[in-house]
Amino acid sequence: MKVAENNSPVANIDGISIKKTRSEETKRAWHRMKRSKLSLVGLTIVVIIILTAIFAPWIAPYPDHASGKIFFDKMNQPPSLEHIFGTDEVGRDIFSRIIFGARISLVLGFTVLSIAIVIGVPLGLIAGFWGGRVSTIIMRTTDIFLAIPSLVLALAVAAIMEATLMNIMIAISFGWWPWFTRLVQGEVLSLKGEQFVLASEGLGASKWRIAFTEILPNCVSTIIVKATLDMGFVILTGASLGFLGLGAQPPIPEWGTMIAEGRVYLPEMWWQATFPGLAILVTVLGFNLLGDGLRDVFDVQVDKEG
Amino acid sequence: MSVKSEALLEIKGLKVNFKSFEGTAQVINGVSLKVNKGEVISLVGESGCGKSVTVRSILGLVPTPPAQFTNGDITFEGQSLLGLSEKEWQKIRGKGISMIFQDPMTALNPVFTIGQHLIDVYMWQGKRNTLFTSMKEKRELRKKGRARAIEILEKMRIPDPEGILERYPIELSGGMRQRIIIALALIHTPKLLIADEPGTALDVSVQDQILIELKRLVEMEGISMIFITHNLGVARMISDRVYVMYAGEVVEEATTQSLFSQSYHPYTQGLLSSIPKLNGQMGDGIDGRIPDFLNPPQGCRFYDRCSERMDHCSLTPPKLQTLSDGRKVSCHLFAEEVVGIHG
Repeated sequence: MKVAENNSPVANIDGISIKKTRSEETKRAWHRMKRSKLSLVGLTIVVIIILTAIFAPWIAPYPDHASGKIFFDKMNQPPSLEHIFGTDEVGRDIFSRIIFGARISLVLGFTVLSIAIVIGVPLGLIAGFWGGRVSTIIMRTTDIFLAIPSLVLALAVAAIMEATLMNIMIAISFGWWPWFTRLVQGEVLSLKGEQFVLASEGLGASKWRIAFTEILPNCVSTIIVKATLDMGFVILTGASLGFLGLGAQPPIPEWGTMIAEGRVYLPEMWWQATFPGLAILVTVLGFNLLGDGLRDVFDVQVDKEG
Repeated sequence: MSVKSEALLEIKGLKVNFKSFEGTAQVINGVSLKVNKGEVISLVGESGCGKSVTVRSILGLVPTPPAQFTNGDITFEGQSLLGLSEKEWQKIRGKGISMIFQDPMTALNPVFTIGQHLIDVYMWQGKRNTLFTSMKEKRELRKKGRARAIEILEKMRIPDPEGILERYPIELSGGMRQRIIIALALIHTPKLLIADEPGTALDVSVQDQILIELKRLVEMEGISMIFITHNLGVARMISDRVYVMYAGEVVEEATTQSLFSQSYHPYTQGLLSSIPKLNGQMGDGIDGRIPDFLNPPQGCRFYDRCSERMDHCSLTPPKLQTLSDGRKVSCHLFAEEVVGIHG
């Protein structure tokens, strides 16, 4: 019998250090992202919005205008150098209010998606991995939730509870988690058949361990992409509820609420509704473009060795 | 033949049925086999003859339903394995009995590094309530796991084990991945290792190296091994004893040496003649296919394909009988009177 040589021939282990390959991988991901100009635009928009939200008190020219103060001497002024987006019916600077509004929209988006992920993902994981009756109960429940349009569901919840920002976030989350359950369940079903699942079972891993530490990490990229794409829609839903008067109440500078207030003065004082509307448009667009870009980055990685 | 040593694993008359829409498939029909301490046995046979189901039942990885264990018993170190709870199974898997899977491309989780695989298995095997392990304990375990991972990789003669720990499965070649999977199965030094056709997905030269490493490691650590293969050359190289399986039954059992010097059962002879010769001649092969498990033949399951069938073969199934030279064959050709000739 042959005796194996000590220097067993291995094809791809060369002198390149791991650190270098890792940083190259990050670069490659960035390169894939860069290939699509639109996703870069999305990234830029999202970064600007997040920074704006964080540093709102320093960026806004009139930070105190975010509150319920009244400046009768500056009522309904059109856009000018002093107030670039004009002022509203009680004389507050619309630009400053939009900047503070970014905080509310982002908090709303992050909170709703966090709740939806925390509820939806484990349920999807359980439904996909255990199957059987558990799966039937979970998936039929999500079907019921999905059958009701999320805006209508949120309307109902918001109508029952007091209309506050917190309640509106709960209301939207209520209709949002089933999407994550669906998504994760599908992913898990396809991952469940992979041999590494059987292999870890053969090495003595428990069902819970396999589900949460073997399968779940494989779903993370999908969840991130879905959450980024959803961010825009959640903000939109929040603004819609605000517009209908069921969201954050005045004088909170919520974009939807601001549109509702400015709507009365259309078309003469167009700036009061238009600029908050544009803010919503740009934000939603930014998150969608970023989501698309991230999808490209992650998808390529998955297919790398198809 | 040497003095009978202590049995590590024993399967007695195992019968496994699979219930399906079409009916009940009798996939394993009374398999008995034994693995002694420190012994390497091979299970050979063509695809679909129940090798994988047999060894997966040893690890409790056959889903019930659709499978049903209707008869027989599996004992490991004197303990019966059938009917263990999931918790009890988890203690045996990995530490007592471990398994190497067939396909190195998919048996590693793509999102974890090799180090995370190895250290995780080292840290948590057989442990429950991992949530409540203190940070300090975790750190110590991780340190030990890392040392053990490097040790086992070195034993596998993998170059630069420290660097390998940081790599993802996708960055390694098939041969390397197969080695990692072997290391993963051996990290707790199990008493019994089940190798389900390792390296079949790899090219022959890499497969050869890996098998040599595997055999060396198993001998070094005194691990018993069940090796599944359809490659008789591999079986000859690696094992002490060979079980030939056909259609869910063991048809012949012999020490490797005696089996390859003279095979008794017509199926084994057929298998041996199926190997293409290096001079370009095609092997003779065995005509026909494995019988339908839903309606297995009344007599010998090999009857339709047997070159030496006799009339009563189709009526009464042969039993696995011990011949006077210690070998076991399940064939009417070797009924009592024939034994005389051989003995």
